[in-house]
Amino acid sequence: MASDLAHQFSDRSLSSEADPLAAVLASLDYIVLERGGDGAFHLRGTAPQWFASVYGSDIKSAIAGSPFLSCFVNEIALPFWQAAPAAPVRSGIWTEVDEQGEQHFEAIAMNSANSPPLLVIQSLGLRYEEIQMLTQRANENALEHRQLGREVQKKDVLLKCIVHDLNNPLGAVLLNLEVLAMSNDEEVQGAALLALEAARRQRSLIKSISEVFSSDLSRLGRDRECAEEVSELVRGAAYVVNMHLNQALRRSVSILLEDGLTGSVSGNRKVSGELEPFVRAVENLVLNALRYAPRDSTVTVRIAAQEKGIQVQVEDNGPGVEPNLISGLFDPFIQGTTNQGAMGLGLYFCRMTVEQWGGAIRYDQAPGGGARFVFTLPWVVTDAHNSDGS
Amino acid sequence: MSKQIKKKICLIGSFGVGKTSLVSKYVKGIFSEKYLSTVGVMISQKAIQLPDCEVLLMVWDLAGEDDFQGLRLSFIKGASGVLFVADGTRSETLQLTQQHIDRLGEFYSDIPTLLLLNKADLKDRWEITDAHLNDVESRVEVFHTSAKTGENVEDAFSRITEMMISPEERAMEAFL
Repeated sequence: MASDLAHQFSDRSLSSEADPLAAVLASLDYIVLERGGDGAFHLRGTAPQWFASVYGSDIKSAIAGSPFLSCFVNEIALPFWQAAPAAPVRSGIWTEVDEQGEQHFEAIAMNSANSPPLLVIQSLGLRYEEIQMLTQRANENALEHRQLGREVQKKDVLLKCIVHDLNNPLGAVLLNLEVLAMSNDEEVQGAALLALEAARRQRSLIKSISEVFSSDLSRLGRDRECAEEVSELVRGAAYVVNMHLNQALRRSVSILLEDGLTGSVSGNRKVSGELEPFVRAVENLVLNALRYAPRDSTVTVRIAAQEKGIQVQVEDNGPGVEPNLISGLFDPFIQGTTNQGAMGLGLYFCRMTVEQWGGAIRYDQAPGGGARFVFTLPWVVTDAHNSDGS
Repeated sequence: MSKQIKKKICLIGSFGVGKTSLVSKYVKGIFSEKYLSTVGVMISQKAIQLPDCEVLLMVWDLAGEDDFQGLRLSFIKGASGVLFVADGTRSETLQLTQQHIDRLGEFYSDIPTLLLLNKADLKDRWEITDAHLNDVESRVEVFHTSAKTGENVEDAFSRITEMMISPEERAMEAFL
């Protein structure tokens, strides 16, 4: 059939030898049709075998007989050819169904100043399967993402209800305890102050749980788009260090900020992240370090540029993390055996925050045996700064 | 003997709403549980016999776009009818359909249209409620369909076919 087609158009088309490019295109399953001044299409080179088996040997009736192709030619390609030369226009994929099953094609209309209008049609063959598979996967992922989003939303609503129901009676308890704490009876006052402290701690715990499991999780996906200038993040790290200087001093611990960013990269270069949650993440790590740092030791916060982003380290000279806790260290409600007032949510918050921005967090043992928490945030690629850091 | 009238009909809607399943159910009577994404355009045909004429429906199943700008209006040119399809279990597919209806109305305001709210077999999971439909029902006739059970599929295609054939065409066929 293909040879019949080639024969039929041999007098009007260029031979494969005269047009090696058309021969190459035919071998790649493209058919190249040239639109003449009379509006008729003429074959250039040879036609691939599929064309005759799908459309027959007559080009005019082939185009007219394919609803998709005639729509593309008449509605898209013709106005395109009649306009000034421009970049090729693709039809997108279409599927023809016949006795042999489904066959998939794409057409391209070309209009350059140096050649007559061309219509190129390709049989996609196995390439279609790849495209279909990718489309399928993308669609399935989008549906799954939506489903997960709905589940998170439901949990968020439930959590808000629980937090609301826990907070309401607690407010009344706190109010009454504050009144009792003003009692002239020392015994009552002492008991009330103890109860007040416990109730405040409970309120703080409820707040922490609400923050970690509600607002931050519900921002999943959105935060990847946040970008913050490195100078702001250095300022945020310095703020955390200054905030906790007195607390550290009371325990004879120093806090040191080693700023390896300022001066090494432009201050307005951006990484994925947002100042406020960044400060909270660094603060969680610093508080954690202060909790375990021995007297007369130093907690060091390092911030430095790397090829793919910035790295933040918080290191102490404490006992380090118990080996059996390391694998689940960033899971919620993980507490060391000494506990020391932690709720087990700080590191989980850090992980959620950093991962939302496309970064990563890990635990290393510090050279001196203490704990070292390391997290990275990727550069945001802009026109001014490409990904290789230049 | 009556002449066959060819009519082009397009299905438009987000991905995964069941456009291809509706076409498959209508044209071949087949429903598959497996979701298979359509890439580009798939054209199927079905001949139907009306009392006074035979109609060959050319059903254009356009791949679902979640961006209403992605809809290639040029493929709708020449269509005699449009079936908008939304998924009752995903309310955002109705929002997109409303955008499609608006956009189509700008260019092809006189084409008959229907809205198929698909997945009627999963009504207990529907997010689309009567309140969502208040606005849209005043603009387009709505069918609750299920490609899985076949509910209202035949009726919806019959209805759009009826809407597409003008009285003049019927009279002409009857005369011939």
